[in-house]
Amino acid sequence: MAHFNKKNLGVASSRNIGIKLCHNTDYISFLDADDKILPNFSNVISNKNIYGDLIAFKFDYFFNNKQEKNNFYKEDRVLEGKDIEEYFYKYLTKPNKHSLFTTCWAKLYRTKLLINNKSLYFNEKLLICEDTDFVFRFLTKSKNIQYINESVYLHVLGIAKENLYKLTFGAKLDTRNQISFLTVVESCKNYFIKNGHTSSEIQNRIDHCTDAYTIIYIIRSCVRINSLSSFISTYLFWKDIYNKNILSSKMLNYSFKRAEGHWLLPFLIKKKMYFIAILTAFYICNKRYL
Amino acid sequence: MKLGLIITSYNDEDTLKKAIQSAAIFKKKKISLLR
Repeated sequence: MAHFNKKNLGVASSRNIGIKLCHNTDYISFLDADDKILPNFSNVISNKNIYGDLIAFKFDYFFNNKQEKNNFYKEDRVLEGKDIEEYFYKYLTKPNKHSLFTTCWAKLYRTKLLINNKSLYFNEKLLICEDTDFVFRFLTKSKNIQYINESVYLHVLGIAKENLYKLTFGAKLDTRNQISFLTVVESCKNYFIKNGHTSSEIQNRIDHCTDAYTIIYIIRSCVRINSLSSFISTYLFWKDIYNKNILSSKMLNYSFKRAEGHWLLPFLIKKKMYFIAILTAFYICNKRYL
Repeated sequence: MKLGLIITSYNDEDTLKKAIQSAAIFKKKKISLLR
């Protein structure tokens, strides 16, 4: 066991150090310190016929003292190109509901593929969504993808104030990290383009996903609000993002029904009522996460 | 199969300790399987 205690590197950089240290292994897997590998993991990887570049396992959530099961596929299977596209279409519709490939843990990655393709390493500029971006780029290079229908990983979800310390929420990071999802959506788009689709074929879905993510991250960015000044800075951040056209307030291809989201927040953004939008997001955030 | 398990932790003693424990348990389990 190698133990490196370098502080404040960022999770992407730390994982990249880990990848280099594991260069002489067959596969690499990731574990977040507040999650758990289930006791059957060793048996599962020993007993199953593992040969793919990427092996995705079923995983469970731990929330409110209860273990909640995920259901991705009914049985072990090899995921062909059409399966991955089908997954991406679902993901692009509801990016927060289809989590099989949005997290880097509960998977095995062929070490050789990583070591031989440095471009597949974690993007160290990303402090949020770096794992989704990593998996999407790895999927693009993977020839054989397997799914194993046995839970081997328990992801512990934060309750109330614990979310302030979850990296996913980036409450301690600069607010601009909240738009890291733009890189992720681009990586997803690249998957389609590398598999023979044209940009225009998928642009509507990409736009919908970008707007769905925007709603999610506007709400999540409110986790950090603990004073009037933090509210104002969060409001000014999002207002600036729309005023500079980094994101379009028109949300032309977004459907809250398809995303299974609420109508009010996108309505306020379309009307450019950003102050009320952030107030609404703050209310939703407190109800949902804190 | 030789598996590299990469554990990332926050910079606080508690989670770091938990992470190292997780790794140690897994390594022990793997060794027992190989015997």
